[in-house]
Amino acid sequence: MTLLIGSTSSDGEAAKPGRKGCFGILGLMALGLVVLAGIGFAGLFVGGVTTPFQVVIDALLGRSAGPEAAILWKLRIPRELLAILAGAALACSGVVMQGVARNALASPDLTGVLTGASFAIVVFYVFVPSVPAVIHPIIGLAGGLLAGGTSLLIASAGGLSPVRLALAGSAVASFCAAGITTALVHAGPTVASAFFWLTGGLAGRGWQHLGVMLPWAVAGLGACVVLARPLDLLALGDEAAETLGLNIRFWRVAGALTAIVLSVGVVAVAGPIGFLGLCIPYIARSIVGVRHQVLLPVSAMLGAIALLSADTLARTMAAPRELPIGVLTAIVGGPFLVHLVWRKTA
Amino acid sequence: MSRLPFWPTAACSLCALVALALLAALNGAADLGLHRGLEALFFRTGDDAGILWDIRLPRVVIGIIVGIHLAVSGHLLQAATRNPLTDPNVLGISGGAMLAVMVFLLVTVYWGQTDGSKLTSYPVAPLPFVALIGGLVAATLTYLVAWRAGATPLRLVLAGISIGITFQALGLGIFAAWGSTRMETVLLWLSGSLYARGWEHALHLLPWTVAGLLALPVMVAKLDLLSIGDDAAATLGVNVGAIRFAAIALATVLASSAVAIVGPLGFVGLITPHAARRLVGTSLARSLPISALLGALLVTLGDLVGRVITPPAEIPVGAVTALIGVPIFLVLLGRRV
Repeated sequence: MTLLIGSTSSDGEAAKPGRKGCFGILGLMALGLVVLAGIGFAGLFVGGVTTPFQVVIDALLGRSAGPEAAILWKLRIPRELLAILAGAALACSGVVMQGVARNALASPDLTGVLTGASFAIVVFYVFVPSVPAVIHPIIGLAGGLLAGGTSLLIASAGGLSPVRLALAGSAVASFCAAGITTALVHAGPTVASAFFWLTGGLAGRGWQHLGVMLPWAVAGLGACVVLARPLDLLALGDEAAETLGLNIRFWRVAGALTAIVLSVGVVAVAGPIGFLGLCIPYIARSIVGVRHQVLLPVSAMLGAIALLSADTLARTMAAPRELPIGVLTAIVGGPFLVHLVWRKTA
Repeated sequence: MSRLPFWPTAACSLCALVALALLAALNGAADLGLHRGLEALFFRTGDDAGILWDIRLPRVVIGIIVGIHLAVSGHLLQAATRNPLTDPNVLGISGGAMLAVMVFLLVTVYWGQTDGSKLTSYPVAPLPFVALIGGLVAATLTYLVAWRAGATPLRLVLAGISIGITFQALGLGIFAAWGSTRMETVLLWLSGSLYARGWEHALHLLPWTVAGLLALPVMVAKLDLLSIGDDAAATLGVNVGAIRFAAIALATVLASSAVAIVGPLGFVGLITPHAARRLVGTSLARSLPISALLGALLVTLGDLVGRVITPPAEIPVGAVTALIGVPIFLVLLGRRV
């Protein structure tokens, strides 16, 4: 199974500073930031109402206080920031999880972490509605840990092959989905809002949601900085990593925890957004190679660009209605996953 | 492991099924009680006759038929792919059928001027055909993606899971874009439910059952030979590719038509073949009928549990079967190192 990553062919690359030189990477990051800023800026003009150029500039500079300024500052800007942060978090979550499991199919969605976190949050949302939204990520963390832990443990009993991981993950996800259904049956009038959240998306999210997600994303992304080196060593294989003085068990657990922390913040605010954590790391790896010091920031940037574009499309394509973001990520991510399976399994 | 004899096992399962079906018919939000229930059943008198004949019996019957469909479908797939961890869900067939039905319902509601607020106002007759198209597309895609000088069981599973979750995500997204007024009716279908299914549904399902089960005896003997390996079976004169294709096609027909009527019901097709093989052995001629009976039992039981646990709210049978089936599946997966 060549779906296993960190095989012998990549050992040499892990020692080198990536496929491109240092300047290539910096150039790539700069290009990515320009693209991100461009999409973000363009997104300020479009939506339910199209805002003219001059009005946007005025509102941005604080020279007007009309409804346009309110739309910009209360709706579009926080939403774009959320998309950027959530995209980066999901992509890094995927990179870290794939690094820890040394398995290209390990991602927050395929291991059931997203569904598990959603399940836990839905249960509280339905039965204990008084719980404030700030607590939701903590509840989600419990659910995500339980679901991700179960599928990883069961899959690793036989050497964590991609097939076992996919089977265990999809079974755990089905269990959690059944739990969600059971909870929704008792939801009564809240079923519509719960379902709206469950399909994943950023419609109607604002500054307070950014506040809920921020600590988790910052903590997770910060941990990624520390994790980059151990993840490189883990990719060499257990024995080699141990010889180099790495405490394998500690860093595995730390990595899995980081991956789950990164995704539960997103789930609590935006619902389970699939495919991003699976596809982005793979794309990033094919561009810059396997060294995590480079792979993580590039993935974060690509994830941010992907989710920001998807969200901008979701709110403009059928305006004033919102398209569910899950459809957009599935349209792109689904064929990608199929392609991955087609190309990479012997 | 000692195998149980076939006929007594079948007879016991059948008795259990009849008893459970009776229990399911008598219990629910309105408790009928044995005496009143039997009176309504045989003489069709009293207020209870309506509940029993128009609401309870059709859903019990549909549950039994659907259980048979899914169990046989799962068993065929496991035999054809020689992989005991396969079922219509794993191979993406349910996802394809589900997506097709979602699209179809959306189109009829928006273009057909149907009143979409009740499940009964949706057209029933075309659903199995629509679902079959979706299921066939998904199965074909799975097969194509997995194909590389022959489709190995492992590649089939990976391809099926990826295609299944893609279709599911698309279906869910379409559902989300649907609008909230029709949400609850479709949610019940989406999670696999027997709620508000009537005789009409049973009638449109039955032809598929009959056709599917009649096709079984033709292929069972050859399919059995696949278990000794492709090469060995080919030496015995079996056209391995053709029989595998036929089995997967039949499994797709059975699973899709079931999904069309009750929505995706997980894990019935996955775990009942295991139970059947443990009871009477691996020979298809013996284990397939037991599998069908156990599938009917599981769905009937799941529906009953879902109805009586928190009346009048109903837990969809699909949720119950998943809650029962997943732990069993994980144990199976954990054991196969």
